[in-house]
Amino acid sequence: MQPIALGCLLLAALAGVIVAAVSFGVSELPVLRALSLFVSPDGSPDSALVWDVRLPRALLAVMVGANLAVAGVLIQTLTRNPLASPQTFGINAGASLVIVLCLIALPELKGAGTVWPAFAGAAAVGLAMWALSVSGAMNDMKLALAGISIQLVLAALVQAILIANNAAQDIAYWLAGSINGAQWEKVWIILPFSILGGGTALLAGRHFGVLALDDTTGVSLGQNARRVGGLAAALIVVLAGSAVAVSGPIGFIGLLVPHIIRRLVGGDQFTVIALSAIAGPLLLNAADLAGRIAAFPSEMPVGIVTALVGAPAFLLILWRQRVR
Amino acid sequence: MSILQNPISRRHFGYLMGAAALAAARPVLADDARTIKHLLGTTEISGKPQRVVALEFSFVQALDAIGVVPVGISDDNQPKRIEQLLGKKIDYSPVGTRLEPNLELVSALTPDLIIADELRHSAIYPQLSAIAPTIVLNSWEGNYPTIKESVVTIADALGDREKGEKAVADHEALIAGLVAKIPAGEKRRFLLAVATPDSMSLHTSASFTGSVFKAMGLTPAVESANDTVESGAGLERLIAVNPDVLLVATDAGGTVLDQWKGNSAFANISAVKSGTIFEVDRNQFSRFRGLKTAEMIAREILAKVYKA
Repeated sequence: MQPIALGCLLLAALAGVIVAAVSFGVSELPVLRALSLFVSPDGSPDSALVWDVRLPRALLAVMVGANLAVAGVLIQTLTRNPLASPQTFGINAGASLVIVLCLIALPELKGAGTVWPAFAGAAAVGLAMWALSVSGAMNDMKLALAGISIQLVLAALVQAILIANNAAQDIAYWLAGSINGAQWEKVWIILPFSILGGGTALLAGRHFGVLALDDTTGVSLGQNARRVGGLAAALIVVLAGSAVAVSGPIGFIGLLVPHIIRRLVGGDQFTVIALSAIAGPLLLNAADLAGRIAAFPSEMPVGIVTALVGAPAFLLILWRQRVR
Repeated sequence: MSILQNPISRRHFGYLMGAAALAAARPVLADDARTIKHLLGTTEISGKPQRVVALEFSFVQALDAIGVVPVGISDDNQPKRIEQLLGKKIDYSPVGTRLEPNLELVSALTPDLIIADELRHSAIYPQLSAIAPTIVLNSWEGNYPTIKESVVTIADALGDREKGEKAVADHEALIAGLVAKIPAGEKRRFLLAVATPDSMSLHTSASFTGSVFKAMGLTPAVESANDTVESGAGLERLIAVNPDVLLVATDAGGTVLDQWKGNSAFANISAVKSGTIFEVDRNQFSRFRGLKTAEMIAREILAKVYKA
């Protein structure tokens, strides 16, 4: 498919899902009234619901989805590993662990305050993975196994804290990955990171494309692999860390979206990053909507929906690749 | 509820048989032996048990109402909570968490009665019964009438049923006196919501606090036959419920309440508009259940909502 055509298609679908997300909710507000309020707010309580509760949630899903998808493209490129994602390489878990620790040690921390701990956790794991990938001591398979091991250890530590401390059980929804608590405040927190991280990733897309080749080719093309790799790792931490900070560890978006886009349009790095930045938000908003409908009037955390849908989808992709 | 009850596996059946064999091996029952009916069957108890282990907060309060100090409590390793629960310090041994009581510590106390919770401890009932006569009651999901009945059942197990009945009767008289201060024709809908850092849990009419509301003649905002708590509620759900009086239970520390306060949609909730939103203590309103807790809830509502 032509990248431009696919891009237009994805954008149209994303717009449709966002309209659906602001039209549908657990309150008794009729869908058509919600729609008209979305087009022309009138300052009524219903209008506040659409503009201050549902819209920030949809926009937060856009940014978290974009961040995770682009981080997924970068980490798969950097490690030359199709299994890599912020989740499978433990970056989500690193951020979760530090946030859970902070919740116990510094319970007053909230809002923007959780971004920096999340970054610290994401960065520590990101740095370790980057060091492993450039050290040359590991081939692609070993690196994937190292990432999965790190993820398992961190997830076990989070579990241990949850069992040992009652207060930590209070963030069960956040830990499953949820944008239920979306607020404009959270949108403003993640926005600069999304623009900065996503923009840089797009501008540097060409360099990352070379990174996908092996080191020797990269060097002969005049690329400083270490520097470009370092930039990619930093972007992964910025994108994934800020996403976890506002929404908890949401899996599979970062793993799945790059695969789908690559299958549809092929390997040009700039195109894959740009289209992933549209497909990630589309997938996350759709999953969030599904989670709201499935458990009505309660809600299913979006992280559970992405896992339920993402795991079979990923298996399908692997299966079709094998058949080819 | 039923999914949570373990089917009796072969292993558990073995435990049951073992417990039955132990029971059968005991000497002939004394004259004052009583058969206590509880949620997992019946338990023979003789004499007046002195060394009681309580595996839930509500049982500790029930024992206190009857004038018994338990030797062991699964206090979640938070002795301060027990002090708050009873309003005084008592001398007891901790036996682990309510979710996972330490059976070795329980056994070491050589109890002559164990009081366990249906939801949390049904799976270890055979092991508990092997240590001491055990009765299983509904505490975790117990509503107000259930908790009152439990006080009498526990008193019966302790060989002093009248004391339990008197404690409940005194309590009911006290509550009636408090309820009389509520103006007639109260139509507002009341909600207790527990605020956590990521969402709110809405307590329904089936919850303990919800049924205390009902006993006070107040209307719970969320009706439910069986589900005591609706967890993971976001701001939109709270707006949809739109309570007229909102009690938000918090621990110390940041919760979604702080974040939602600045939201224009939150300001449109009936309780927020009319200034009838109050922060309350999460231990007292959500974790604890018991006669004393019900009295405290009634007093606090009178003070906060009716300035009485």
